[in-house]
Amino acid sequence: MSNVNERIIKERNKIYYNQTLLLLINFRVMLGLNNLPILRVPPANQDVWIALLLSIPYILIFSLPLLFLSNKFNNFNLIEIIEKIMGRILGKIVGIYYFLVFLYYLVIFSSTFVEILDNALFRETPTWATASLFLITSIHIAHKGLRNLARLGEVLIPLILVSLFVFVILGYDNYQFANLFPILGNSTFKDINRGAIDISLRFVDAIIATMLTPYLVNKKDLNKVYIRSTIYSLLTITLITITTLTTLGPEFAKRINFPFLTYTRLINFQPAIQGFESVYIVFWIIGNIIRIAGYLYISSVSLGQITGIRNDRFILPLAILTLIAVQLIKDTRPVLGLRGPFNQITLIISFISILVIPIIVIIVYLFRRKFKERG
Amino acid sequence: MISKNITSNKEKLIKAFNNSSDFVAYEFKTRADIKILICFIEGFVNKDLFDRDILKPLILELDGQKEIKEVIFTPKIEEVDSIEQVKNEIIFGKIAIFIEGNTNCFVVELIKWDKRSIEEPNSEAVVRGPKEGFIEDIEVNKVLLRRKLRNNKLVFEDYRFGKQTNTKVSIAYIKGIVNEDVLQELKRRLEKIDIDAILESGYIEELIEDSPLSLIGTVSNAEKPDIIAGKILEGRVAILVDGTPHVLTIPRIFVEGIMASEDYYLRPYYSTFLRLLRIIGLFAAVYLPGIFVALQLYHQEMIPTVLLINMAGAREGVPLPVTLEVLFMTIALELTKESGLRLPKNVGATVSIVGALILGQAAVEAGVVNAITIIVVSTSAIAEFVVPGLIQGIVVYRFVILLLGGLMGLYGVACGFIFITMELVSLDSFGVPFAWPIAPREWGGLKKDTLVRLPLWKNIFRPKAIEKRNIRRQISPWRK
Amino acid sequence: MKRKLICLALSFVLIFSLTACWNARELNTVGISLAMGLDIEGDKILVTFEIVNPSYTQKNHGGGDVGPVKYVQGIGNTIFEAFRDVSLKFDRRILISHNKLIILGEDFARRGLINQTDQLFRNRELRETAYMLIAKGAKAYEVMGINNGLEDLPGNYILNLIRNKRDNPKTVDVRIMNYLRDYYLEGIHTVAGVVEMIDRTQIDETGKDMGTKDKELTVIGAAIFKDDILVAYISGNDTKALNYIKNNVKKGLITFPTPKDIVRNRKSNLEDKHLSSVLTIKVKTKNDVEIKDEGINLKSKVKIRGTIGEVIGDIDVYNEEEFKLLEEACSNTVKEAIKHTVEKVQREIGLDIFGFGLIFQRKYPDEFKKIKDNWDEIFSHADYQIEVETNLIRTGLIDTPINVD
Repeated sequence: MSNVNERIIKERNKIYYNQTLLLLINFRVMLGLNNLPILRVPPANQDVWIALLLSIPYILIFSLPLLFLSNKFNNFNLIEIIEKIMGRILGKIVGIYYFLVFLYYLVIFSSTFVEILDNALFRETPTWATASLFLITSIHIAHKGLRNLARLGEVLIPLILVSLFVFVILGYDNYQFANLFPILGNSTFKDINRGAIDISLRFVDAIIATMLTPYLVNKKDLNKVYIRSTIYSLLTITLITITTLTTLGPEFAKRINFPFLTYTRLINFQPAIQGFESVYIVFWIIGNIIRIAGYLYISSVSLGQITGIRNDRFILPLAILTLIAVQLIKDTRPVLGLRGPFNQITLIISFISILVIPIIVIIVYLFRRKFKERG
Repeated sequence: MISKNITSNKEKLIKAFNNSSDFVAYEFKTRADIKILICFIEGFVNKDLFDRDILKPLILELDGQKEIKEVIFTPKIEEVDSIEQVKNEIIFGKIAIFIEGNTNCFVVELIKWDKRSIEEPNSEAVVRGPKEGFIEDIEVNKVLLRRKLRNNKLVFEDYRFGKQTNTKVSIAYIKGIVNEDVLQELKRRLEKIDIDAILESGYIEELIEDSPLSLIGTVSNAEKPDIIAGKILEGRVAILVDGTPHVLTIPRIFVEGIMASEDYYLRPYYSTFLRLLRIIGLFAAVYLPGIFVALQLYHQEMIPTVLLINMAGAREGVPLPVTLEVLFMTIALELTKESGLRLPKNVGATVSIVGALILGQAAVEAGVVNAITIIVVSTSAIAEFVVPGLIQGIVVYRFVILLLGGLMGLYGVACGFIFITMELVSLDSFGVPFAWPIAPREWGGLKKDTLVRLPLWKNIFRPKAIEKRNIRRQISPWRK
Repeated sequence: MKRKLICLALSFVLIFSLTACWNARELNTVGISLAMGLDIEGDKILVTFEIVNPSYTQKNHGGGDVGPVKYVQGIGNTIFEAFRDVSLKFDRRILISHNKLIILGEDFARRGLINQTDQLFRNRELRETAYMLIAKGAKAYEVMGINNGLEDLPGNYILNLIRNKRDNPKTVDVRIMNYLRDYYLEGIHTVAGVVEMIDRTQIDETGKDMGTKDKELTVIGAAIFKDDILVAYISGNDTKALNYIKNNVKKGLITFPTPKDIVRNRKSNLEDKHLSSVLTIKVKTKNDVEIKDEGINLKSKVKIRGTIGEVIGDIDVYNEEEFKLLEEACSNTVKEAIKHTVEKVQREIGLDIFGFGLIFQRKYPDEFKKIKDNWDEIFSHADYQIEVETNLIRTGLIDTPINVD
């Protein structure tokens, strides 16, 4: 039963190389924009952008185990692979773990998004109202399936990226490149490395990539997609970081929750036209909704995988669950502003799910293969 | 099935037509004393020719030896051997001739009825380009199409739908260019149709659509032979329906909405400009009122200060909240539009003048609405007419965006934008993605004949999504 | 289908239950504030808003004789409290997102800004692009009502005065964003614009002095802050020099004595006042810092590109040598003026408002960490050298002065 369904879903949801590339870039760039208090990670001065650039190889290294698994079994997604290698029961347990990870990210991203909306647009609107509108949109997207999600991304994500570059150009008047100097003057190599590792652990999209592999039309593209998306997205984030740094100065930028938002607030085009931040917020919202819809879809797929029921049925319950969780979290404390628990938990979770479990799975896989060869 | 006795045939037929007054059954004897029965429907038959070419020769010349084809001088004469079939032929305007002692019936076509002359369609007027449009008669329409495509590969395949109406439907395509998958899929869907009446091509459209619930249809229609011929040449299939000048084509892609036949007759630069204008018009038509409300309610900082002060001045004393104000104005405008369309032409002009005066000037002076609202609403209403193919979707989407903008500002508008885009990209038309070449992206399609209209000699290939095999249109003259 | 219906139903329930609430603000319920004044009254903060009366735009529709603006005040222990106090006195909610000016009373600025103004930056409504001005020797609200320009709105009058900096660099256009950026940096002290009330003689149509005095505003000069406390003002000429060093000049006038030795003075009898002026087109300044044995060396290198504005005294502009002398004279004047200003600031104020500390920090980051606490001390004893290079690239419609043969 489940196999047939899975096969139908896979048949119907073919995605192409550039669609996957754009989706992954969007996931990353949005993470960068939401958490640009990346400016607060270790070097925390004008050299942050070096840490960002340096995190590209780290991200690629950290995602090696997952990419290895995906390349070996490119017709299956992560949960199926684990089930195949670890056996049914253990596989299910790990599968549930990954589902919870996806759900956790879904909740965290949604709460971050609500926080953005609360701070940047709607101070007085209650959480449930802002949250339910984007969750309804996400449900709609997720219901349409991966193929349409990818097509939607293909239309909208280029718009988002182009708008970011346009903002970068429009704010040229406010640049003060002197703010970037001295390069490497105030931070040691060690600091920057720590920052790079910290940053690269935040980018958990390797798991998403492995969940998308079976739908790729041309499976050989996987590595190319992953590497390119990493490089492009981090270059974009670096560009954005540099513009905010040069405009606001590192010390002021550190104190702002959404530096790029503040940066767009400063753009004046002629004295009369201002308020570009609202346009930026629109694109920010669009990007975030695509991202949240993506995570909603993937968590529903993984749950469907575990239970053997069509994934469509889980989308609405998962969204309602998210709404409740967001409501609970957001009514107690801010997510972004505090350097508190969520940051730590996120880092630990991504460390486990990107590195620890995949390495264990690979070891088991290699042992089994050896065993088989002998036997 | 046909009895040798023509009187019983006559009775059967009269019974079959339920004594309908326009059914004529004329029984007579020739000079050679052969009993003959002629049946037809009055008004379908060209009476002069009937007297000269059928009645006279039959009476004068038909004897035992001569074949009927030697007597009657018309190429369209067929032999039919069942009364059922005779009935069908009579319905379509043919003349049935029964001869005593013969088990065959001869069916002659001498159709003539009044039809509208070929004129320029109101809905698709052009400055440059052919002015002729289809009419209600399918045979004439076929001729019009054939005159555009004088090609033995142009194929018409006839169908009849509607248990009550027996409407003639014909699909047209060029063998060798048409996408066979689409053609097969269309035939499969046509075969499934089982309905009592087809009064307009809209019936067929709804019955064969991919997603009948979406706001924008995935079957396009046009009234002009040059447009249809152009589409057939891109590998599409046309569906002609008797009784309507609107001819359908499938598959439809979204960008057809921003194209017009004139684009191909005018200079490429100007056509490209027109296309950009239509895209702007499309966005303005859907989003302008919503964005206006969103900015005014939630994002005042985006409006230039001087404009904001003016807007605030204009709003002083307006009783309604801005969302409702724009909503009412939009509805009032739709009312004017609809009534102007439905009313008799001479009254229609009055209504639009009165509507414009009342809605425009009086409403502002009475302080019910403010002038800027009227500017916005009417701009978006004007803008929708640059993309006539998409109006049905635009009007509904505009209300949705307006409400979302009033509810949640640009956040709502952004969500609405996602909804609409999702709707468009998720549609398929006979296996062809509706949003092609935007999503899935194809640069070749995008830059050649979508956003820009390249010169004709640059546009070497047919749209790849529609026809995959025979894609070369021409060899560029510059290559030679 | 079912899903779509549910979605639709949900959206409609949302829409009809929620329209026009929370953050929605109808335009006829807000008062658009164009300028905001902050003062200290006793122990409390006094906020003054200049609110546009939108009806004034509708004059031709019988809007009547309403003035274009109204002034609204609120008082409280913090700015936020003062904001809320306004709401009990004024019928509309105040929209400060179009606030382009923040005028700080001198008392307020002397108490320190940053601690008191946190609310302004936490709230997304206030734009960081608003200009910051100090009401020199006055309360903010005293300055705010004055309009001597053609603009209907007094706020726009002041705003345009600041924007005229592009023609006359004797003032600074500091926006909140610039102020904050500099505030958080080490090695530079912040400056802000100044607005000052001055008397103006009233003249009637015939040009006669009417004997009464009127007020007008000027934005000449700049205010200097130590951390966030106003400590001093500098004059217009010093501000010009400051702008030269901070590379902040676009167009400006340089007036300098026409070189004496070549003044032939054949026909003219302007014995003593031989002044010429140059209109700058582009000014580029490079600053540098060097460590010497004792103390440090500050250096500036100014490159001016300009066009001849007026030449008084008969110089033959066609003559290459005389042309060079003209350029040199211009350079010397600028050099003297800037040097004078820097030395005056070192001597009298003792704060690094030019940003030499930033350059030092970028050049010698390790050394700066050691001395950053007494950088101002070091700055005020540093030597200053300046080089100026002028290139006159246009001569205007005439080249040789008219009085020259």
